[in-house]
Amino acid sequence: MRLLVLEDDDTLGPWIEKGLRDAGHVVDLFRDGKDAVIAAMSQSYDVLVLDRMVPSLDGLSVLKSLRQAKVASPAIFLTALGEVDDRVEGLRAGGDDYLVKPFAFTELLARIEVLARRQGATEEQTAQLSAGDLVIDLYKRTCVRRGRPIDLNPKEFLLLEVFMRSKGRVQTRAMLLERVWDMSFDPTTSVVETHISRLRGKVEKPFGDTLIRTIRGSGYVFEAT
Amino acid sequence: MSLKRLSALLRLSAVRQTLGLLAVFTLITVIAWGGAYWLFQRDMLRAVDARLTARMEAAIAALDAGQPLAAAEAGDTAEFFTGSRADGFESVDLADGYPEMRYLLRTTAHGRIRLGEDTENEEELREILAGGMVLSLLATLLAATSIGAYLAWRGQARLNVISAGLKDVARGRLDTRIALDGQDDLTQLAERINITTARLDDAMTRIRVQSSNIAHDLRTPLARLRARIESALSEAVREDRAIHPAELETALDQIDRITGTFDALLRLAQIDSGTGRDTFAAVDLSALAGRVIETFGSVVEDAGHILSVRVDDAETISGDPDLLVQLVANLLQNALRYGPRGQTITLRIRGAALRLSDEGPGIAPSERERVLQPLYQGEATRQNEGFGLGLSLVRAIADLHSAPLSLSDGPNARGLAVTLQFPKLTEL
Repeated sequence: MRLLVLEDDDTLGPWIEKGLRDAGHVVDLFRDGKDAVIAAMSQSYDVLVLDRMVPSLDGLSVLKSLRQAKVASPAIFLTALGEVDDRVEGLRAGGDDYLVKPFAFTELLARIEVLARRQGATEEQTAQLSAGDLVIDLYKRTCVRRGRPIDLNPKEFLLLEVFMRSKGRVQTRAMLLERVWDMSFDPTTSVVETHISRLRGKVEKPFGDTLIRTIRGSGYVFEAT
Repeated sequence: MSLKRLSALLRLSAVRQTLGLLAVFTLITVIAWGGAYWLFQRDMLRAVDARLTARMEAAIAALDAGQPLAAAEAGDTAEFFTGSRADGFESVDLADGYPEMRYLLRTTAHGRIRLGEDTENEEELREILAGGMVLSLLATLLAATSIGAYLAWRGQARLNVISAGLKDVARGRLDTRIALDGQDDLTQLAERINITTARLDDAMTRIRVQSSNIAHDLRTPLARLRARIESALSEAVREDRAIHPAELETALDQIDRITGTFDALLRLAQIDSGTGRDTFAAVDLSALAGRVIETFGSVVEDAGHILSVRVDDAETISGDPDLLVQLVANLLQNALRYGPRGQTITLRIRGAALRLSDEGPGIAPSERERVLQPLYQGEATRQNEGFGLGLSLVRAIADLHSAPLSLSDGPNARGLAVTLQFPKLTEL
């Protein structure tokens, strides 16, 4: 993927650039908002990573002018401003996601991949999702593995659906809280861990294998066998 | 009195009011009394003139009948005039000692006749009247001035009390309260100022407490982090080895926890600022209960506790659904942390009331009031990281929803029950 990163911090900018390169992406790092606008106008990027506070033209204005010029690349804001109002402001300006500093690199990478995928193909409108020998029916809300029906409660079902829609990609705790429980705060109790452990108990344990892998320190990844 | 002091005096609103009223009062009195005086004088002259005219006609009739010009009565005059004046009435005020006279001169077939009447009496009457008027005007003005000055002084004194109080508040003494006796609009004003100052005082106290909480909640884990990194570094230097990945991992964990605390503090500050009310929506409390079961039911179960939810006649309230879930999440977390394994945690919704009770050690009745106050920094509670913050968040969210928060014994006089009474949608 070709990514544009707008970040003026001397440590954070190169850190993001290197991390994304290591993940196999082509990265253009800019420290100045105006340069970023010019670059994004002249060629297309898969995802824009914009810091809110940079000199001359801030990330918000950059995205506003790009959106006016009909540049539709998905954008994620990086910011030290964590208030809800700022989040709303960013999304209104045409942003697709919002990440508050400090963040783990895996969190940024996972979110960039979600955005790039969303841009590539609209979510499948099929009634069924399948992964290996696991099949879920989105209309009937049923789950079957190796011909055996599995009884899931609504949240477990939604959790599994989110995983199956993002096979092979890391889902961080915060992303799951947002997508499954619609929570933008950390409930401190082990909500994600508990539900994943229950889900595993139903879709993995009876079959003696692993579908959801825990990535230490970053999140979970669903891999069909 | 110097010019400066005079102009300072004139700037006082009470003095201005008094002076203005006095000016209007004086003007009206002078006009009214001047008019009365003028009318009185005119009528008196008319009477004199009528008498002179009657005498003139009688004199002419007598002359026509061939009689001589009759001599006048005492004080009056009757004569043939030889001067060169025009006919008509004329008042003549001769030098002192001579009476004031009014004359009527008319040219007749018998020659020019001039009749005179002594108007000394009328003049005296007029002077007495004028003197009386001036005297009473001065007396009323004096009285009005002194009463006005007294009222102005009294009003100004009360205003000065308020002004001095506000000056103290501006200097930062927020415990200042304005004491004003009496019952009028100024007392009301003072009362309002006192309420505002009290609110300000409360807000400032909260900010102070919050800053010290922030310092506490962030410094402690930062100190731990620093200690960990420092000892890892000194060990690595002493033993001449590389830093172990596990040490960095622990450090990262610690940083994440600090970030989490920081986020929670920011959230608390934001909720306390009250701006969240703009996004309030109708929240069905039974739907909230459903979300709580869905989200936390298995968490409570897996921790070895029982979550019991009872909903009766759930009302719809106005609120922020996410914050309400967070409120319940915080209460649940406290219950999980302090309650014995195997306890029943009960979420009870009845009408517009929400109650969460556990079977933990509870909070002593004497502590309950204090635990809800933002100031509360009980050693026992704050040693466990995040607890104080959790209850602060609960209190802040309850405040934002105008929902009184109360603590009581749990079921069977065990544990702690936290109750929130939301205002009904119809009451808003």
